[in-house]
Amino acid sequence: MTAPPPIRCTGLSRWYGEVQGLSDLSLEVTPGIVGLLGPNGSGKTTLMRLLTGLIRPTRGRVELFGRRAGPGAWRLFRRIGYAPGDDVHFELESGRDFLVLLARLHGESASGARAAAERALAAVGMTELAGKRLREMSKGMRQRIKVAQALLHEPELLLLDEPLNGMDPLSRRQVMDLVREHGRRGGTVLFASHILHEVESITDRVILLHHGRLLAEGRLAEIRDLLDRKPRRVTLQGASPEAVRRLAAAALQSNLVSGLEFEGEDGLHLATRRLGPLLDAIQTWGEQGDVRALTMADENLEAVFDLLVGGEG
Amino acid sequence: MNAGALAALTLFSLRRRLGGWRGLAGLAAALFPSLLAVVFRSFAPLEQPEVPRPWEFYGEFLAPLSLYFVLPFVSMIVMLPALGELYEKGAVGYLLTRPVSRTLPVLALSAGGFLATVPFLLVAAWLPGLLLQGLGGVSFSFWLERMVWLSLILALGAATYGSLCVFLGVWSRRPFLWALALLFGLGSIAGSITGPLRDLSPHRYLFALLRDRLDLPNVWSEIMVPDPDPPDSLEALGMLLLSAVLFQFLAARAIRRRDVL
Repeated sequence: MTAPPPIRCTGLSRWYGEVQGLSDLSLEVTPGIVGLLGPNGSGKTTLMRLLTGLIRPTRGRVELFGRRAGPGAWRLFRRIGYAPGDDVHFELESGRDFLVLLARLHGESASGARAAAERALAAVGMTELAGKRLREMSKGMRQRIKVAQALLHEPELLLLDEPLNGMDPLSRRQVMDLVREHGRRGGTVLFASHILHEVESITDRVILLHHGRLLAEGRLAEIRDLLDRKPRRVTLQGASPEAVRRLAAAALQSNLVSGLEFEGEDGLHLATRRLGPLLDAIQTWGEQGDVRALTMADENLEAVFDLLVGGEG
Repeated sequence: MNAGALAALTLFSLRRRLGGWRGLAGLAAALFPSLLAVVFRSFAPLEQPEVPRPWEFYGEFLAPLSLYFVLPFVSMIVMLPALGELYEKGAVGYLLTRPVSRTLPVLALSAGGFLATVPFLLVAAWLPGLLLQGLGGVSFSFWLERMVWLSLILALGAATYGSLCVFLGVWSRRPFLWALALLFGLGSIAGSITGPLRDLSPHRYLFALLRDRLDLPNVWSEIMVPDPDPPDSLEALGMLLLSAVLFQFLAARAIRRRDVL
């Protein structure tokens, strides 16, 4: 008999009054690292809170390791570590005392809790600094403490909500290494972020959320293929109104664009399914001095989502 | 239930509740009866027969003052944030994502909050007594008995009102307004006047205990309306303990239902 997946959501919805937080989400997460990608407000934190039972679904259900999650299913937290997106908030405690307190809630004795806290602190490189009160720590240090508290009991499933926010490059690398190691050892990590690059550097399995809906799920490469089939948007700023007209004419003649739109006197939006050849062509046009600036809206995650939902405009 | 976790969280709550401006405000309120005792001791013309004796001043004025003012005030500022503050900041999520039943944080944070109110209530009960007992007339053991009873009654009140505050902190997003209404409105005021709410007011039962133990008249001050059918000590004790348990139960129920946003 196969083991149930660490995470299974079925028809999961959550409304905050009139506002939709998550809509009819059904998905399964199997062991390994999965990136939960979406712009701010896409429902990532809502999903994390639903998974941990901190909020209740309006409809649908969550199962973790085959057991229904919710406020009454507290035993599940022996297998789950959660780093919330919010700040730590236990300002008056030192980082070490905070971890010891939480380790006691995992049933550790006083000495066991201290040992678990030290292990977790060492894992995030905070051993030396953990005597400081949390309110005296930088945002990056508090972030590391937050990750450390999720690791205290060496859980099978790690739920990390934007864990790299505010971290310096060294800490980022350390946390990313931890996440990769957890995945290599057969654990499961759901890693929420709004930065594509962050997720790409640790996994190619992603879940894309947008406006509370599941937009895509699978390998990042597959999603990239999907993106390539959709028109990409390139914006040119011409050197003069005449230059913009020349660029528009050249673009139409090239047969590389599927759409074209002027913006003001010197702006030109181009839609293309053949981004590479179009960029080569633009480079040639640029050599004639007609192009002052080029921006690709699809460099950021928001634009990727716009493309996937069909909102090119 | 995990005793180690309970103890660790209780100690955390105790430390947290005693510190900061709330601790100072609690101390200021707790010292108010002592301030009046100093004034009494310094200026009361004790040679005049119409002036109350020190033990009468303590029993009939300062002890009820602690009951009607210090107790609700201290309960509110110390116990209301015990869980309410953690909800407000979203910090409660760190506690609720652990392998312990949600009842455990309710009990532990309540216990820590309750222990934090005790020093303030002891100051309110003992310091005025110690300041006044030297004025003579009665033995120290007489004073001691009164101070011990007042401490116990205030502690019982803190358990009841503290549990109510913990419940309000979990149940409501505006716990302060509810606490003002219930602790001072239903508690101090409704417990002192006639009407259907009087039977529901913990103060009715607290005052009944105080009256019995400190041999007070059936009213405190001219504003208070005498209770036509005052409860005896056993009934009062039962009602107060039952209320504390009920509020703890309601808090445990609320923490399972309230979303952490």
